[in-house]
Amino acid sequence: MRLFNQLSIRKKLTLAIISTSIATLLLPAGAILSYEMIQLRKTAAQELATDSEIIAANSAAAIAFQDHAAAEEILSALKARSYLEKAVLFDASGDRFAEYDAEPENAHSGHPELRSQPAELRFEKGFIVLSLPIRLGEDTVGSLSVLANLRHHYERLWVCLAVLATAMFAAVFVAVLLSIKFQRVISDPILSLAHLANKVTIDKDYSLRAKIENQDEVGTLVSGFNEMLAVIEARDRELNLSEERFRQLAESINQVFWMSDLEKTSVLYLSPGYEKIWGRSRESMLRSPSDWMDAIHPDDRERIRTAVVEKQKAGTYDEEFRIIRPDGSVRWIRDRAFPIYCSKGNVYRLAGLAEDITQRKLLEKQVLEISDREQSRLGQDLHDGLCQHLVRIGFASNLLCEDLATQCHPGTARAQQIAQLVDESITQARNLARGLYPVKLETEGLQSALAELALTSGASTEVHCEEEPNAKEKFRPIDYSVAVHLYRIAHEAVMNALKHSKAKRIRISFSQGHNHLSLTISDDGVGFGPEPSSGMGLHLMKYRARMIGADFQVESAPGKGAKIHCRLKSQERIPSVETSFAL
Amino acid sequence: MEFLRKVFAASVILGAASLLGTGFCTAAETNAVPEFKLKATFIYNFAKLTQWPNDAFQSRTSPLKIAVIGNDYLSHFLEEAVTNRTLNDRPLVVLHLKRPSEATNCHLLYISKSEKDALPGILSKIKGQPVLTVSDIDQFAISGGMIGLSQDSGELRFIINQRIAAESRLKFSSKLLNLAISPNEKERWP
Repeated sequence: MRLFNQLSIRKKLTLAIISTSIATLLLPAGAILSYEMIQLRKTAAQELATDSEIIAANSAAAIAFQDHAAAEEILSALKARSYLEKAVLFDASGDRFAEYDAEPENAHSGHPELRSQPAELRFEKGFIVLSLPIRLGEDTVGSLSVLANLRHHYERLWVCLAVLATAMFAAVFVAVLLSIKFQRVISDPILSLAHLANKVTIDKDYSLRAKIENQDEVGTLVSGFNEMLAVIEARDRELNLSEERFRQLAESINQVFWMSDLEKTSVLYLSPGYEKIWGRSRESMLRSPSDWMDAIHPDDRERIRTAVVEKQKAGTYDEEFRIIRPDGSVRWIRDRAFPIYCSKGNVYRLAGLAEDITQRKLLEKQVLEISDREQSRLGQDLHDGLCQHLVRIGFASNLLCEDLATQCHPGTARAQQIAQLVDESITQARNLARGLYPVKLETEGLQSALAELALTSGASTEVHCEEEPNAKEKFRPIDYSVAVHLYRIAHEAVMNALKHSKAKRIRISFSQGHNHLSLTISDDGVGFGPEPSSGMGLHLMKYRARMIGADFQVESAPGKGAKIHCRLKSQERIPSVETSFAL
Repeated sequence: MEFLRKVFAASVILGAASLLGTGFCTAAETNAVPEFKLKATFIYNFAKLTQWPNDAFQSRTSPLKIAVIGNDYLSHFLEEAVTNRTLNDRPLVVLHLKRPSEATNCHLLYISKSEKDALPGILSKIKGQPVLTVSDIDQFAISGGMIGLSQDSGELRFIINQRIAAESRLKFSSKLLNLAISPNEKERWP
């Protein structure tokens, strides 16, 4: 059956027609042969019975009168019957009386044995054995047993078989000729359709159409096929356009569009931007889905790995990290991920967009630096210019007050008031200048600057600085730019606490270990919820922390104060931000 | 009484032959048993293959009488051969005739060799009557008898004188005629 299934439809049809013809012919042929076989036996038996009865009748008197010669003479008449092999006359007592043997020299080893027995007809070993009693009047005087071959009848059967076979071959030949002609009516449209389907498969040309020749089921099939091709063509065109648009989008944007399975074991799509931004081949990413993560800066990798697991499926993944390209250069990346839901509403894929934000980082840094620089300049100008000028006015005011007091001038009180206002102005200007330009940061370091910040911000503010006891080596001096950012973070946090938290106590903790710096500003104020109040303050702190590669965490709850924690790993492992922006 | 006497005589002969052996009876007598039996069978078969005229019988079921003159032994075997048998619904009866004058009252008459001298008288007595005559007397068929039994190469054969039979309105089956030997050359009848 498997071989049959592999044949072409034309051969199948031809074979089916021929098989049907043969089966149709075989059944009547078998019936005819069976009938012939039955008739053969019947005819043979009748023929033998007739001959035997004649012999029996003729030999009855011979047996009755014990005339062996006469009996044998009667039996010898059987020579005319070529099908008779042997005949034996038995007398009434069952003894052999006379015998005829067509071929006496043959031993008849395979022939059935002839015995005296009552009437019997049996087919045995391809022979017929007939026994019948011999009667004379009312008496049974003996019996006759005859053995006949069926050669003659079998010859007839063979002739019949040959005729049937010839008729069958002729019929099959005619069936083949007819099948070749008629099967084309069915097979040609199907083969034409199959050829077209093959062409469509190979050439992907869905504009081809099959010709409808018949209005039967095949015609319906061809019509259906054409309709299907039309639908596919339209869909293909739409798909191609869609793909073209997507490809243009994916290839032209300076971003990496990616799609993976939920387990992140295989990458389903990765836009060419990956090669541009990561500097690695797409093939390596497709081979090893963790290729992109291998390039992440060691300090960021663990954070990103955790975020991938915890946030991507939830749709909250929006991370910025650094990657190290194969040439050693560092790039800042912003990576976002979005869960994709299947029809049942379950997440089954993840898509994402990664963009190179190095330039933006550089600009932000520059803006921040310019801002810092301007603040410093303003603070310096305020300290060196306005503050000195106010000091001089203060001195002059004090001298004027003393002179007016000596003269008991009525405007003395007014003058003293002015002198006091000038003093207050001097204090305010100095505080303002210190906020804008922390002089001690440059001259005495971060700890002193933080102490001054606590001192100037209010009596309730305290600074706790410590060194970890197990830090045996002397600390490396803190990079100035890092110190500036940390100071600004502390300053912003303190200012926020003073302005908004209604805190009674603000604590600035700074610790320096062997391979880390830790800055914590906490207060006992009103705190805030998960969505902090609007304003640039918190974002700026976060941004500054990110600029120096520090972890930035905010812990707060309404009524439970706030805690801002900034932790920086060993500076030695941190590539200089300046360096990274120098790309 | 006649029957019992015959049975007794046959029993004596058979019993003597089997019990006392050849010392008591002659070889000829011993061989005579199958011969009588065979002759009795022959006579029975002659009756079967012979057609009598209808007026030979009083009715359709009148018995066919087989008579034996001389030789009581044969009549015994004849009786044995025809016991419980009929021919065309006619019972068979075996008669033992003492006198040839009784010969007219039968359908088949066996004349034993012992009656050789009385043969002409017997034949003339039944001449023209539908009585089938059978005998083993030499030249019987030629001497006016119908079926003469003779030994041919040790086998019992018979000669038919169809002319005499025809005169007595008797017809023989072709089967019987085919087996008969010619009266002169002892050849098969044509």
